[in-house]
Amino acid sequence: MAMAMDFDDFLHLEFSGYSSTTTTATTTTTPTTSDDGLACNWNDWSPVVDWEALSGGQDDFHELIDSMMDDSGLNPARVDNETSNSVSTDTTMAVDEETNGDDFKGLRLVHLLMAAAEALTGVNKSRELARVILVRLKELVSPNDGTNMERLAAYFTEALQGLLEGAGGAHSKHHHRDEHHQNDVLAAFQLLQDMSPYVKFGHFTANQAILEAVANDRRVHIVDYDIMEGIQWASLMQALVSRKDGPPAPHLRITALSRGGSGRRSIGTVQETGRRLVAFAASIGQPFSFHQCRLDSDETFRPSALKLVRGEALIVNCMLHLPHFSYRAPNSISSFLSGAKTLNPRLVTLVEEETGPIGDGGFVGHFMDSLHHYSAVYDSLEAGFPMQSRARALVERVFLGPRISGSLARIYRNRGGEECCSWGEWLGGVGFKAVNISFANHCQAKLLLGLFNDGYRVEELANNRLVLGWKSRRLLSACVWTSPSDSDS
Amino acid sequence: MLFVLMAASALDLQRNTASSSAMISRSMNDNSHMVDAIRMHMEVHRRLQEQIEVQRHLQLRIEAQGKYMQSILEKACQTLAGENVNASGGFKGMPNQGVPDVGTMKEFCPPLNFPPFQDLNIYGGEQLDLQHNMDRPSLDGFLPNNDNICLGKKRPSPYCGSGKSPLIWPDDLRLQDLGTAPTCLGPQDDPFKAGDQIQIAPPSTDLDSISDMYETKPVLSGDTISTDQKKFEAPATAKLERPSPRRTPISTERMNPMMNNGAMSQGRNSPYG
Repeated sequence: MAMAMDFDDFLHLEFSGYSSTTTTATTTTTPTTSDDGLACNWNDWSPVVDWEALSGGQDDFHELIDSMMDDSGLNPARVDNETSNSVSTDTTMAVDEETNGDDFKGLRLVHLLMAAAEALTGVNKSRELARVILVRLKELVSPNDGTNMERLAAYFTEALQGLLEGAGGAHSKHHHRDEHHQNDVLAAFQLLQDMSPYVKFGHFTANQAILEAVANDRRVHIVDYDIMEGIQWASLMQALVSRKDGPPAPHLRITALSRGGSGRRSIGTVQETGRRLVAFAASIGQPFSFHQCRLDSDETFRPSALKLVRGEALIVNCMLHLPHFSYRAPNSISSFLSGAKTLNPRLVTLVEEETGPIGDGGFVGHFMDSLHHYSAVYDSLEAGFPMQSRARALVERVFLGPRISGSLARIYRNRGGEECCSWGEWLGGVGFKAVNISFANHCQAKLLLGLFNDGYRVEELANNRLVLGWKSRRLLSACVWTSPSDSDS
Repeated sequence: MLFVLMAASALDLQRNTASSSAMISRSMNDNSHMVDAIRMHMEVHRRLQEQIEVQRHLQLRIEAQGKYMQSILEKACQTLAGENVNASGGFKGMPNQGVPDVGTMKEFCPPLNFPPFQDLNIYGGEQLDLQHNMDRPSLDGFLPNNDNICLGKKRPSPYCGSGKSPLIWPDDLRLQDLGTAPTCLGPQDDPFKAGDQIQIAPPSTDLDSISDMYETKPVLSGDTISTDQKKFEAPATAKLERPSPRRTPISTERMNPMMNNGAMSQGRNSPYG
């Protein structure tokens, strides 16, 4: 354990040493940053100063991570074989010029997290080393305060700790969304919607595609894989009621899939959603009926369980991975999508999370990708509500923390990552045909993002896929497909 | 300089003495350019129309979603009120169910003077946006609500008259705003926004509870309120002083070409106009 001790010592040294660097680094930027305690999120705080120009574009943690991943993140051998010291010193030099103290600490945290992940799973696996690094990390960060990177590192530390102790799974359950009081969840959900375009982007893009596909239909049937609160359908109903050309509001039928067994989206909640949707539809005069369809006990989908009516335009809607959604097992999703194919739907709308390049596909590569992803999410939320740290902390605690531990646990369990393929690609692979994203849909997404901060962007990939990103990182995508035999759309 | 002028006039002379056939062909050429230009103009116009339509729809959709969200929250509030009666002494047991949550939810419940299911404001939007606006002048995106508040409360507006959708964005403003352009509005263009800020500044009780939600410190005394006020004023001025030209290029680059045309067609405050 001499190695562990050395490492620990080195950490102490490094951390006592970095404060001097901090001051020099901050003073070089501008006068305002000297008050770091007040405006630690200065990147987006001042409307007058163009921070991006000042800091040379290196102002966000995920960009730092970005550059790190280019440098060393995808090359874990380097952490293995060289001493950690050399890694730290060369990044120190790189960072000195253009970042402030917070970023500097952020970088250190990233290094520590990477070292811990490496120690947990790498070639020179040492649980003891991982334990020591995690102890050190816990001294440095807390999920409730500090910079974005510090809070994020706290959740990653917690997740790694869970892996170390219980080999995943057990620990993450502890932080499950179920554990939160329903009101916390609701408040966080509301905040999430106000702070970021994630939820609306997914829903509105899918809905616009649906509206275009059923423009002349009298009966529309939507099969929804994970209806959650049902909020997606409020705006669709509104649009159906107010459509000018074409027949008057079509009859809308929604079938929500519900998990059998003791799934968290129990049938009770789906029923509640149904009641709420019925009431909403009635309030705006939308002809509507609601059904549910149970998934099998292993959460697989049987198309025969679905009640279909002739003459209905069938839409299959599959929202995955929106920040407030819960995890769904890949075999459940694939059973749904391949089952849907046998029904020849008019349209399949899919929203899913984008992952970055994973490198060698090992745990550390996935880990870094995950860190990169969530750092972008954190940064975007901070830009949305810079002063409201308590509100952000709530969203992080209720939605993001559990997501992080869940996804790390999964990466850990199936090291090598078999679910790297996106569901969009999967749909193309099984023979669905791409449906173009319309100008109106693209335009809607742009306008929507325009309502939020600079930094969000939308790009169109492959004609049928809109991607929502934060700065350089792609986060969510929505894509639209139709079944191969459906010729009339 | 002189040389250039001379060269130019020489060129003119040459042109004027060009053969008539060349002139005819040139004018035909010009015509086809003209047709192209008109066609392009019409295309731009069509896209612009479409975009305005999309914008209107987006607004309605956001409102519908907000209204639906509000129904969820109201339900939660009712449940909570029931729980409160039953518990009659606070919550025991589950840590997450403690008093802070009650506070949280109360803040999320619509205030009494906010008629449920009527005149869609983005739920919470109204309250939250007050907060935004004061804490964060650069939050351009939420200005639509803000405008609405202002339109609704301060000046009777045609948009507020009809019960169905009071939140329609005035198109001219909106196009600019969407292009990050509240920034483009100089102080003098924007008197009512300034008024809005001022109007909001005295924190009402609602505001207190909301700022309680967002700030770590609880708002308990007059002291805190006055600090809040201070904080609110600072960004407000920052906003008004915000130099307009700086961000216009950003919006240009960020929005699609249609948006720029949109901004241009305003002809207001745009460096291109």
